[in-house]
Amino acid sequence: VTPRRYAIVADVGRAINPTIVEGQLAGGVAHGLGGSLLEELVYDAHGQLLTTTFMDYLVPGSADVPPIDVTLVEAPAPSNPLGVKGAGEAGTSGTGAALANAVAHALGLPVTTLPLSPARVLAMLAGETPP
Amino acid sequence: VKPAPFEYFEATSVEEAVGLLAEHGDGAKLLAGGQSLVPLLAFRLVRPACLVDLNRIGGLAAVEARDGGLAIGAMTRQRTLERSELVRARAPLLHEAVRLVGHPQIRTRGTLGGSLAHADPAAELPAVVTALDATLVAQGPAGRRELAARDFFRSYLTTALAPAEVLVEVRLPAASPGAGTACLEVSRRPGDFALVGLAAVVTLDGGGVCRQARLVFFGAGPVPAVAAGAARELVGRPIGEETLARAAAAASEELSPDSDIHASADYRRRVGGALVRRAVSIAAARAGAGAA
Repeated sequence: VTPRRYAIVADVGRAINPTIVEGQLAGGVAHGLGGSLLEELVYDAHGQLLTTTFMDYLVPGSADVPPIDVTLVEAPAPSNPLGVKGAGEAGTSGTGAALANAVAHALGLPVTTLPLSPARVLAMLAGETPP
Repeated sequence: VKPAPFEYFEATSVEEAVGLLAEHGDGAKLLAGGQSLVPLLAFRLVRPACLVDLNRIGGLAAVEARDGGLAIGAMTRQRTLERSELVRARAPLLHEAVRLVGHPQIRTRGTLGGSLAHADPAAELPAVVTALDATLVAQGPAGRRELAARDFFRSYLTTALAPAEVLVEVRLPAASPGAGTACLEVSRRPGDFALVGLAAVVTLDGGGVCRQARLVFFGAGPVPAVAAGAARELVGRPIGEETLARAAAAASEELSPDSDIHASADYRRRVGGALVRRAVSIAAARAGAGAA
């Protein structure tokens, strides 16, 4: 699964420094893409964690992240004088569902497990229970 | 983390390196580009008593045209191979494969000989030299000897090099007329070790019939895996959909890869078959383009 482009629209209240807010959201998306496609805590039968280094616990680097279009919607919060809302992790939260829905749409099959590793996708295509 | 303590020797000639290996025996490790050894040291997965650094030895990093093929010094950096017009012209398979090795930073230090002597079964270059029927030249206390690449890789991280031998040169024979090559791999991220990959050499005659095929997998067992059964399905036939399907099925059948946390053996077998289809199609198209 290779994301070509990622778009996120976020209601951030008032963006005091839009560049920073956009960067926060893009960083959150990168984190979410890692969790959706690569990052996995794999244990053996005795409960020993096997993915203990960054050779085995895979995170995306900048070259592994597609272009991200960030759109800020500014609807100031009435509950504080600056009108600000939380931003940043919002980029992470929707990513798993967005990727899963994209793959489900492409394959016409439900996606119930993340990360969407090549082995899982191949198993889905073959009509098997994903590992 | 930090490596365990070790003694360090900087060899200035192959003879000196061989002498140091003979003197220090099992405790000595050769340091080439360090792209595999240094992480192993840092994780303390290896604790050699001494390192013999090959980087100051002159004359081990040349890429030369020889006998229609190439003679490549073992300390030639992967980045040099990637940028060499001579390599691109005479060994397009090596040129294509070396670009799949790690990242540019890694290739800038990593060497051809280092990758071969390390013999990681998921690495591209051992499969490539096996597919190209290379001759590897080793120098030891008794002088130089030549080894066929297909006999060089013995097991996981184990080669036919004797304890006091240094790999000094890799000789690639001239490409056959009508030969086309391709190297493909599937990895989690670009630059990661391949889950499974394939180096393919396909030779066509003027009528488009396959005369010879060598298919060598990496990431599919303890050594580069020659898929002889799949190659047999190709020889004597034109490369079409039916031939490709038979060869792919044969490869999936004959491969015996390992399972690890990144991919199961079954996944590697299935992807191996798909790689046969793709790589052989590409290699055959290139062979046809070369012949035309």
